[in-house]
Amino acid sequence: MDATRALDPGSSVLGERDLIAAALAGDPAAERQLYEAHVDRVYRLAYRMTGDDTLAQDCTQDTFVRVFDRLAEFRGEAALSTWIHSVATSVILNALRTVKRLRSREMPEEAGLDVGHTPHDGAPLLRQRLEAAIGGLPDKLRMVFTMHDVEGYTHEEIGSALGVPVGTSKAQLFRARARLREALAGLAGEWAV
Amino acid sequence: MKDDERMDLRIHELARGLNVPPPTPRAELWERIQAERASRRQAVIPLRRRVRWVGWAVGLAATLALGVALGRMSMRSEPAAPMAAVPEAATGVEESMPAAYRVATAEHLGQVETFLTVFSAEAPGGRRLTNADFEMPARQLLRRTRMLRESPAATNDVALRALLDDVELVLLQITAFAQVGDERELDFVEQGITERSVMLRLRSALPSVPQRGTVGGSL
Repeated sequence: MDATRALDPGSSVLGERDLIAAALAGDPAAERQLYEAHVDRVYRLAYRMTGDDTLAQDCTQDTFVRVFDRLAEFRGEAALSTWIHSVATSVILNALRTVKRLRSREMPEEAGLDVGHTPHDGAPLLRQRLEAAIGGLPDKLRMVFTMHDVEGYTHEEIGSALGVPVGTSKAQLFRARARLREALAGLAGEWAV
Repeated sequence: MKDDERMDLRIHELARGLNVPPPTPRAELWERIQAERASRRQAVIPLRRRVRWVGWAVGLAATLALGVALGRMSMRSEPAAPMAAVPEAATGVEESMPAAYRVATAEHLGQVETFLTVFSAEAPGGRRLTNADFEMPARQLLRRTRMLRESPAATNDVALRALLDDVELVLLQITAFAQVGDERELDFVEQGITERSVMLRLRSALPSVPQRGTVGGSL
């Protein structure tokens, strides 16, 4: 976590730039430091979105392989974390598409193809419904909801990562929340908890 | 506090308790990343570099195909016995496949190969074609790929089915790229083509699935 703070774009841009330069020059220690600084957020997001450790690890691996392959293309116009997250969100959304495609082929008769949110039998009804409702959101809405409401990203970060204006991020979060409220509207009694 | 706000708060609170990630397996992931990068460094020439050679390769292939076609035409004008006596190479693809499906499969795989070659050369930002130009052909090829995959042509042929699966994924990625125009989607296309050796497998499959002219006599 310290490494993350040290490389926070707001606090230590110069340190991050030095690390990028060193990584581009082939310094494995610099690559490792960059990795350590960002891997937690990438893995957490991947896990939240996929609900599967193996898939989350695959996404994280793919993200960093791409990041290091294309580090020379990073122009420094945005924070490195933003750039890494733009790669990560693409990788995750693509993985979700692939998984859904494969599942739909294996289980064509199943109506719901919720990836990453499988309701637990023992959970309270509200929680179960919420899991199902989140899993039923379109991937991009779920990504915005997860990034903002669950993982605490700002709309600016989300917009940059997904390549959409801040207003779009806000609108998508609004839509995601509305859909979740709608899905849970019948459980008024449970809200009193 | 309004009802909506109260619900949002509760949803927010509950959602944070779902899919809670375990500690990041940092060391394990780092090793995997390094291993993957090492294997990629040893992999084949990246697609983009190969694209330079596509024009030459296509020209050469066309010349060869013309030569082969002329050769076969001249052989057909002679008595048929030698042709019938020569056994076809055992490929597994065409042996058990009805002739009509062979033709359809050969045509389709040829079209996919041509399409992917043009796509690799032109996307993104090609001078002659825009990204959107690829969407409709990709969708049409996608539909045919799915039809073939479910047909008897692929039912009993594991290799052909696997190839059609991978072709389907690549075509899906191309439609996504054509819609969004995002270069990151292009990466997925290139990755899909390269990692699954789609072009190589298409080209390997083509000679084993006789073209229309060569199977015409058996129809």
